[in-house]
Amino acid sequence: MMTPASNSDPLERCLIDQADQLAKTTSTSAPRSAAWFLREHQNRSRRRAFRRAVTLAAVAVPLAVGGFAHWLSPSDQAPLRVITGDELSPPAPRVSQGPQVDWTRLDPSANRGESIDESSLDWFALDQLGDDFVPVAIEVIPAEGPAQFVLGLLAVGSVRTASLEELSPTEFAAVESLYGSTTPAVSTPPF
Amino acid sequence: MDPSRENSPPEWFEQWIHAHYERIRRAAFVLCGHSADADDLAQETFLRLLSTRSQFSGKSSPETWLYAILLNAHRQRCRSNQRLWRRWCEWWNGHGSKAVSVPPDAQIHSREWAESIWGAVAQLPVAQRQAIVLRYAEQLSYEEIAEVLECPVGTVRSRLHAATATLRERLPPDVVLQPVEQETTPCLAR
Repeated sequence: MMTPASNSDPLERCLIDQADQLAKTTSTSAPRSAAWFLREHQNRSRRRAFRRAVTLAAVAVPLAVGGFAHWLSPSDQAPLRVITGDELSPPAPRVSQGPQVDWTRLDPSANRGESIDESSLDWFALDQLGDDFVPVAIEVIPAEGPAQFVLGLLAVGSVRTASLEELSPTEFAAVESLYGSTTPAVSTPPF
Repeated sequence: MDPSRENSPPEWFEQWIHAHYERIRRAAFVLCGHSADADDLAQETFLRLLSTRSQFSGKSSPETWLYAILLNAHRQRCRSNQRLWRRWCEWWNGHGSKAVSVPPDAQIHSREWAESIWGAVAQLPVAQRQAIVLRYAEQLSYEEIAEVLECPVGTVRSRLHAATATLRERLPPDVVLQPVEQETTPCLAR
């Protein structure tokens, strides 16, 4: 039945010899019986399923954790620029010019929509922003000139002033979400 | 020996296992180069034999029948691996990660196999690879190979010719041009 391949060709002889050698180094004994074979097959199937489950978990769990962490990451939400410490002082004089200035805090706090006079600026800026990471937008409507926003984020001191045109797209969206609109009325508070 | 005429499957099955398992397992190992995969392929071959024995007419030899089952299982496994690998690459590349294009055969193989000439055979197309295994590892005749692969003898010859021509191009000259008189077997690395 078997017709040996030509062994006069070096390549063919190499193929034959190395196949024989591989068979010797990896030879396994034949199954002892049909029952043993079937039982062994079941065992192998179980082991294979277990290996696959472990491999899947080893791949899927880090991917899931990484994906979840990426989803939680605020990096793509581009938070407002945080200004701390001394940078807090310049906005205060700018926005506290006379009794005509309306202070409207658009933060979801007890003071929402409440007008704040200039004397309460320090108290508002330093205490009312709180320690939590709630974004705050304050619309400043001076007696003259364009409306401005004091944007606060994260914690005490993280505020700055900006006109509507100076807002970055992210800040614009933040103001819009807090404020409900980015078209402030000059003389009428938006609430 | 004809399983289709046996009333007691375990008995004929046992005979077939004792007579042919080792040879089929050896062919599986030469084909895939991985011990556990070879075990899987050999077991799958005999399990398929259980369900397809009624199709065995007895015109061909049992070994030819078993080789055909083995090669079908191997082909399906190759396709399945390639499909899985392609999906994985698509998913991975689609997520902005560094592109991957390692072929699916780049898995962990037996070191002896990978360093032998059979590791180079694995780079051939599946049809040529199977013909080479049947001819040189299992030493079947052209007619038997044609029966296993269900193709004309001429096709077998052309596949073998193409496969050996490719191997001659890819392998170092000392493997393919070594004089016949030399006693040591040429090899890639041993």
